[in-house]
Amino acid sequence: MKEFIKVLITVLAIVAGLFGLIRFVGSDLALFIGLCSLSFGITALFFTLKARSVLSKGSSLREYTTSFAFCLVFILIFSIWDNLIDLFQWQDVLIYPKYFFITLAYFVFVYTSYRIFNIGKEFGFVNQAKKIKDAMKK
Amino acid sequence: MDYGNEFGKQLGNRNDYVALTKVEAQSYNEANISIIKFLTNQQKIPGVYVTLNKPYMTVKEELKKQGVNQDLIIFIDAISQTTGGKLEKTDDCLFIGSPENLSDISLSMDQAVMAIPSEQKFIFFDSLNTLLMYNSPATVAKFIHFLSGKMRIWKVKGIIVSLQKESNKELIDELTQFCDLTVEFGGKP
Repeated sequence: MKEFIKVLITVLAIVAGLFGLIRFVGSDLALFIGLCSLSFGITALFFTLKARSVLSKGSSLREYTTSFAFCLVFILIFSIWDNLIDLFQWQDVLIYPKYFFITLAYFVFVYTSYRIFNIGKEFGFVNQAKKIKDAMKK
Repeated sequence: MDYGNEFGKQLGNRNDYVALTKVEAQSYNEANISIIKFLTNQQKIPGVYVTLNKPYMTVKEELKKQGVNQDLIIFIDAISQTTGGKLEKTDDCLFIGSPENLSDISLSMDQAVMAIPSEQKFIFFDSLNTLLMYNSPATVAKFIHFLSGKMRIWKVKGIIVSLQKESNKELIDELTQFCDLTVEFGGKP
C-alpha cells in the first residue's frame, strides 16, 4: 500500500510537471523537448552524485563516477545553453558556445571511456580463469 | 592439529556457507594455510583469497612451501600498495590501494568470483581484524553484512577469518549473526 502511494505521488508529480511545462512553453515543441531532456539530465546527475558520495575515497569506481558526472555536467550546460537560445532567440556569436560545450562533453566522454577501459583491464581475470580451467582438468 | 580437516568436520554437510573462523594468534598462519590446503588440494575447489594482512608475495610463498595448489586461486591484495608504491596487476593477483578502499575490494571480489569457471568456489577473507584497523566498527559491520549477503548470492563457500582477541570482541560476536557457523581454533596443542 505504502509503495502504491509512492508510485501514485510520483506519477502525479510527473503529470503535473509536464502540464506546467506545456503551459509555460505553449506550442513551442522544440523548447518543450529541450526542457524535458534537461530534467532527465538533472535526474541523471543527481543519481550519479548520490552514488559517488557513498563510494570509497580513492576507489577506481568513485574516480570513474566523477568523470561520468563531468560528462553529464557538460551535456547539461549544452542543453541549458541550447534552451536559452530557443527561449531568447539568440543569434550569431551567442550560438557558438553551445558547440564548445558539446565538444567538451565529448572530450570528457573519451576520457571517461578510457577510464572504464582501464577498469576493465585492472579488474579482469580472464587469463587466470583460463589457468584455473586448465588446472581443474588436470 | 589438522585445522583443514577440523574445519571440514565442523562444516558437516553444508555445501554453500558463510563461516566465521576465529583463530588464536599463535596458530593463525598454520590454520589459514591448512584451510586453504583443505579447499584446494583436498576438495579441488578454486577460489579467491582476499588478503588485507600480508602481501601477496608472502602469502604465495607460504602456500607454495606447504604444497598448496595455487593454480586454483585468484588473489586480491589490499595491503602491498600501502607499504610499497604502485604494483602492476599480475594474472593471478589484483592489487587494491588499501583496506579502506571497500568499493574496489567489493568490485574486485565480484569480478574474480564471476571469472572462476566452476560451480563450486570459495572466498577466503583474511582478515576481519585488519579491516577494523583501517575502518570504523560500524563500517566493518555494514561491509561484512553486505559481503555475507553477496556470498550467498554468488553461492560460494565463504570463510571470514578473525583473530581471537578481546578488542572488538563485541563487534565480532555481533557479526556471527550474519554467518552460518563459527569455527573456533584455539592455540597449538
